[in-house]
Amino acid sequence: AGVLQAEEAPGEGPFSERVAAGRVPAGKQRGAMYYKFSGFSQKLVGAVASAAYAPQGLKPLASTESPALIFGTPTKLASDSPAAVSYLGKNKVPDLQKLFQKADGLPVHLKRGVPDQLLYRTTMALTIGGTIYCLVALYMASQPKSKK
Amino acid sequence: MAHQTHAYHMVDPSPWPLTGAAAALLMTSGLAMWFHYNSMLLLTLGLLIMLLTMFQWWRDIVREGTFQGHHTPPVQKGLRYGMILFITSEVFFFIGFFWAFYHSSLAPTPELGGYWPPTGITPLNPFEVPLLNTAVLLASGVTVTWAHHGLMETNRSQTIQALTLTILLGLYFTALQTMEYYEAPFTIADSVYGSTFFVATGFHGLHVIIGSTFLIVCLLRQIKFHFTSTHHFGFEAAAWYWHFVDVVWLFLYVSIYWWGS
Repeated sequence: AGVLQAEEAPGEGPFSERVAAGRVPAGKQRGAMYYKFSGFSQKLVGAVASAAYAPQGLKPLASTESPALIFGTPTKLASDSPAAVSYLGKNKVPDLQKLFQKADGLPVHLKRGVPDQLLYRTTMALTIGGTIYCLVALYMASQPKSKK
Repeated sequence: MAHQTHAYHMVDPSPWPLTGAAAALLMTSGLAMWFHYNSMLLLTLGLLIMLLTMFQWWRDIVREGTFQGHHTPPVQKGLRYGMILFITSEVFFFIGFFWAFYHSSLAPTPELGGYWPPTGITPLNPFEVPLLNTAVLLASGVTVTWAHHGLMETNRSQTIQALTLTILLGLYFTALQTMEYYEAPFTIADSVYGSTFFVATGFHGLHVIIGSTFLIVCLLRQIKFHFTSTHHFGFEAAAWYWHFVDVVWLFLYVSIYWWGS
């Protein structure tokens, strides 16, 4: 998903030697290097694997779970208290991302199916009906004799 | 295998510009019908279609950005330019009303008694509710900044709490201002004083309501995990708009409420 890899630069000696000498930058694996697209310079620049370019939405979201507690009687974390407000609901964004990226050819305003269609049709019906009513009302209002 | 080889957003065909334009037609004609033929049907219909258009258009933008990933850095840059230009246009909108106020108040005509405030007008005491309103909006500027920092530091509960507090302060301002309008000893019909006062503060109040609505939408999106610590332009746009509303109030307070009394 957009992660680019390249062969290591030639002529620099065995990989393992360079690793031992500490001359291999972080993120380099055997024979591969990671790049990301820098929005600033508009070119590919070196990066660690986790920062390698991934379009928004495919990158795993920052975890909102607190780390697993290891004590017998779990201590209550400050950020856990009244869980009612802070942790409202579950993160449904990845599922929605999958839904809206389905290659079904539907435009975004109808992508969800029936509820979208209902709302669209209602809006369009009101628009067309309202415009016709408006034009009729304006026509009548422009008649010199009959003033309703 | 067709996919784009550029970072820009080619939008899907959308019906909302058309319905929005129709809403504008119905609202303007509806106003004329209301004024001259005592009928509110067209106006109401126009408002309804406008609300439907706004809801669906902005819903689609959320879908395109958050769910489909179309808001790449260059696209976001364009959105930023757009919001800044829009707020700038609103600044000029308010400049017009301040111009009107200063035109009338710097050289009060004989019809007003040659004085400002005009004869017979008891202006509101700027150190009572208007001062409270100033404190409320300034505090809301602090809380929205707090919410932003919470967002950038991936602190979910603080972001939600600070954003909620901002919205409550905004609603409190609106409630206080509504009460002030009801209790005011003068009306919009009371000479140019009433006109400038209620038109300027009235449009400001409308913008407070719009800004509060924008913030409420951001709160709902934050609860639904739409924002990340590095990508949350919708929130930033709402915060910019909110600060603009705050600054307009400060000018209103100093010019109309304080100097103008």
